[in-house]
Amino acid sequence: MNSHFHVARSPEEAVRLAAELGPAAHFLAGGTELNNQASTLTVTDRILVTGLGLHGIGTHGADVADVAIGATVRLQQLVDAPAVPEALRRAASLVGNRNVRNAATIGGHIATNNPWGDLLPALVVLGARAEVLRTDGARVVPVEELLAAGVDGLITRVVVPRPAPDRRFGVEAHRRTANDISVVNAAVALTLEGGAVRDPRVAVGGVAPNVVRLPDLEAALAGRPLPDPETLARLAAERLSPVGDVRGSAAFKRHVASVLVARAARTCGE
Amino acid sequence: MRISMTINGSPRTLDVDPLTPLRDVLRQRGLVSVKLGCDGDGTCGACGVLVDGRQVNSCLLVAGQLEGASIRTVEDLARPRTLSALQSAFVDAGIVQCGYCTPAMLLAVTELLERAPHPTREHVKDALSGTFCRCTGYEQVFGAVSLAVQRLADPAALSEGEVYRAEHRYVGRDTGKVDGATLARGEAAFVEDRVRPGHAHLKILGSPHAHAVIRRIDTSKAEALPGVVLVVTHETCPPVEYNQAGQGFPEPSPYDRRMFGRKVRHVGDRVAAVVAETRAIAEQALGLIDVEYDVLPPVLTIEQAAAPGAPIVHGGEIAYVVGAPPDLDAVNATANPDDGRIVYQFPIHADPRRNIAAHVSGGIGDVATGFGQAEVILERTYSTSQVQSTPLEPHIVYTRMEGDRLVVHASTQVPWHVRRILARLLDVPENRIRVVKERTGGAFGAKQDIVLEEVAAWCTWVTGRDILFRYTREEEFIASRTRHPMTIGVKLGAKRDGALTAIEMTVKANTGPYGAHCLTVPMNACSKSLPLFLCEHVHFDVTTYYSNIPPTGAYQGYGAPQGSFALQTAICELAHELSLDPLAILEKNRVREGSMLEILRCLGEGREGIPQRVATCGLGPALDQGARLIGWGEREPSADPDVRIGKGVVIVQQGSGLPGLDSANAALTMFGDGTFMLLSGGTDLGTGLDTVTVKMAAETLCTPLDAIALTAADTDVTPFDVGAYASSGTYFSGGAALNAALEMKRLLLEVGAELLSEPRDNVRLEYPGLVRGRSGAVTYADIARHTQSGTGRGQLTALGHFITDKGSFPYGAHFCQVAVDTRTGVVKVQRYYALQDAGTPINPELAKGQILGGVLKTIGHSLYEELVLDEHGRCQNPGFTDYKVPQIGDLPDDFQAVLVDTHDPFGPFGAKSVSEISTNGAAPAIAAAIHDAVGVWIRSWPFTPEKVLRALGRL
Repeated sequence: MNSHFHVARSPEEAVRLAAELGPAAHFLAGGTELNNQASTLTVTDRILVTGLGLHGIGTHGADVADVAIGATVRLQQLVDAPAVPEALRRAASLVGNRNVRNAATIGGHIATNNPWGDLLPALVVLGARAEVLRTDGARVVPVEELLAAGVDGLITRVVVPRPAPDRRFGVEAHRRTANDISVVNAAVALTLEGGAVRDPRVAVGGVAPNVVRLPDLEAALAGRPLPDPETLARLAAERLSPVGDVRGSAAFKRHVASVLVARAARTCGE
Repeated sequence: MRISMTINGSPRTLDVDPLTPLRDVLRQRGLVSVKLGCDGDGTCGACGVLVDGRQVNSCLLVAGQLEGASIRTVEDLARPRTLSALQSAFVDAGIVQCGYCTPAMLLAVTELLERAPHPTREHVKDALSGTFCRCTGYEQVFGAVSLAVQRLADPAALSEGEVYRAEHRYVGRDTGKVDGATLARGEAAFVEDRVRPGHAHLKILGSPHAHAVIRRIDTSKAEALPGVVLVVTHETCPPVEYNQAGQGFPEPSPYDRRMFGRKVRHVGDRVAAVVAETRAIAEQALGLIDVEYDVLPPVLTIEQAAAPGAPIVHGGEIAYVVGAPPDLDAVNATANPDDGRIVYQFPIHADPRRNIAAHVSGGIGDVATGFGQAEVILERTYSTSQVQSTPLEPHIVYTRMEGDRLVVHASTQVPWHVRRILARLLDVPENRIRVVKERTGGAFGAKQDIVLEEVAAWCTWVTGRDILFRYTREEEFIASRTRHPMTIGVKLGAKRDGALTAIEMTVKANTGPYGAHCLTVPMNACSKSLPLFLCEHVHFDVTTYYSNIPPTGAYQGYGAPQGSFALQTAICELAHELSLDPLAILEKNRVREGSMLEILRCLGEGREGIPQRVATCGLGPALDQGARLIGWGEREPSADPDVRIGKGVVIVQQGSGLPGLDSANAALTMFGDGTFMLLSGGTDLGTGLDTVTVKMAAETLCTPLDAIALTAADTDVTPFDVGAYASSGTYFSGGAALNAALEMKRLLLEVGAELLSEPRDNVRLEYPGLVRGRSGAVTYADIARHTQSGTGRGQLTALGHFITDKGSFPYGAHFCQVAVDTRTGVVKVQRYYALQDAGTPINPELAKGQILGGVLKTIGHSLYEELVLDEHGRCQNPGFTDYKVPQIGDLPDDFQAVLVDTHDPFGPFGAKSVSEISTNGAAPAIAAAIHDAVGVWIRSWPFTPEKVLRALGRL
């Protein structure tokens, strides 16, 4: 297929080029998706966005509690960076292939928005926001919204609020073998206050085209002690309706995803 | 676009299309260590290189991304003819087998050692988490890394190997691997490294239908496309029936195909071949071929194939070379001309009109009597999935003309069978064809067949062009060779004390579209499992069906893993029924030294077999030692309430080549300075066979190892060998090398005695290359000069030949411990101990590598691997993204291969085979351990989490 290669000299030039070239122009960073022969994307143009200074990990603006991660930070850098919240480091380490972690970037991971993206549930429960640049300017969008709506523009930074010290996280994934994309994955965040759950967030991947939040389950959990894992799994399963495929039947995905939610919650309770 | 990067320390400015994958950029510049094992989807890691110090897949990077980058490949690790500490440690630790993934592994560990100079096991697993190796089972890489760390501190650090034969200089102890250095340096060694500029590419148009007749095919648009050299279809290919199985002639496999058929019998079956100047043009031309199909309903399962009124996969004319049945004319009166023709070399009791490709039954004693004596009878049915051996290097061939002769650079297990079959298809004498076996990047049985060689050979013969034909990974899954799916019924009769009174095995196998190995693989399910038990009344019945699934064939173990899974699991189930310790029931019934194996009389490969007395059997010590290692009988506590732990044990066996069928030859010639060239017909697949043959020669001739140079598996240069299959390498090809060396020894002693003027009985060979008598000694160099002078007897040349009617059976006990997560159904193998009797291990570390690799492959089919077809016969997972193979992260936490010492009276230096037997234990041992953990029997492999959950009633 004829395809073109462009090197952007600034984020602004990258988004201007993308607007000119149309919907099959894609931003290229690590290349693990875009250069992948198995990718189902239609690609007329690649716009290289590495080398634009989007590779730092630091604090964000006036709010020094937030962690700002440049969009082209590689997944292995996340795993290795003490400044990054533990839940996100753990989620990045679930990508079981070091060669991929050495190349894939957080911005690409979000923009690709694969159902098996291991960082995505964690980013959602962490309340991460992405800075997205378009020709009409930059805006900040919660990652959860971005995943639901699809990315329109260039992700330049991901901002992860620094969790409160008593905020707890659990991150889980089911993979068929160690070096596999996740079949289903889950992340839970909550705070335990006097034995009761406060502000729970539950996100599950691999059960729908995009990561899903489970607001009903969150409501059921809030204000009470954590239920036992079996009850929790049952509550979660009631809210999941995945589609079966070669990676697992619908019933299996539903069951295992619910177990992962329960386990992630159990981790929070420990 | 001009791109500046540093490659192996040299700054380069390249004028290159920015979309060229980095892998191609590097290979085009001669850096052939960079491999490719997937379809450029980043799932194998064989193209791994260091970019700015980090291991990445070079297939997933394009040149435009690399401005200013620093790239490192294995070519940078050492100067020519030297090895770095890491490379030498890899070779010495036995982690280099086929060598195709070795460069990527070396680079990943290079990166690791730079950030963690004293890495842990977990560090190593993480570093190699993206690198797929199918040969080694990975375990020895931990030792290799430790040794490398020691050697970086002290270059003289030695590897501490086990010594099994103190009286020998080389045999029974580790000596590296003769091709190890070349492979560790990533030098040109494989078929793809032999291609010359200007070669053409061959691509196949595969059928989109599992079962169809080609009504009309129009290739004119494809032929008109500029750059297309040749298009071949069923209308233009040789009108010759044959079978692709690489078996000794006359083969038991039916000649049931042509190069291209009018009927296509599986998705991906050959419809046409295009030869073009570039791969892209060839692919474009495939799209211009206009085909009209009459689509037929497909037959996918054994049940569908056996059903009354089932669609018939082979409904054509039938012919027999010998042994035609009396009703043949009546059968042929109904032949369908669309359906081609089948020629049988001899009867295999096929009935193609009922989709039966082969049938055999037999036994000893009388099972009715045996079941009458039983106090308990157990009947179970087991089934196995279709799995692919996934050699990291897919099938590949490079063909070219040299004068009026065809030269075939092949990645094959059977160079002489390739030559014989090509000669027949091209209708030329065998001396018009040369087959050169290059290093193979994994073979595992899939390369025992002529899967693509004949199409490239024909196209080169017709066009005169150099042609490269390399399968994609997808083609490797859907159109090469897989393990036969089987359904196996086992009926056991036993006394309450566990003594077996009768065994009945009913094997139904699915051969798919063609009958390669259709008799012998399913039969081997019985041949390599029944003789493990001493039972008076035994019966087996084997039926193989044609269908429209991807082709099956040989895969390490050759039917034995399926048979072993069924029979060994049934024995464990019987032990459970009788409330006996499985170890006790094995001990009560197992074969032992001196046992007479009458059953083998009815288990020949298409002819009467030879009963054998078991000369050596290491089962006793293997079971004792294994039980101690794993703490047999002790229940392991689990820290996690969701997780239960259990243990399993099984016994396994295989053969060592095919007595009465196989044949191997070797030659040794002496050079002018007293060194030697060993010409071996043996086909090293990465297994270390070349090392075996060189060591046998050097040991016998009392020379340094490097005094023996080797050329192997080149049909022009080396003598005949049937090839590497049926666990024949060490036994047959090694035996031939030993016999050649013994003959050379006789010549050396004769000439040495003459030069010393001493009687023959007074002289002996002495290291390093002397004939010593009572009066003094002459060197081999003296002998060479003398014999090759104007007054000498001529250059010393010795031939060795090995055939036998003796069977030497390797035996083993496999123990494992699994943890079953009762909520997710995930089974994790925690400990796996494979204790095997290989006779004398010629190379202990390489032998262990064969065992570990065989076990990990079959942990694969036990837990993960399965080709999934939809109802139209289309494969849903023809790539590593969804066909899951075990890798380093899936290793048992404690994974050991233990060699149980026996000394075989028939094999060279007391050796027996070691590789295939390793594949027979994992499935039944894991099944038994799962039962021990959670109380359910899973009777179909793979034991997926979904099956475990269903068995537990949780889904």
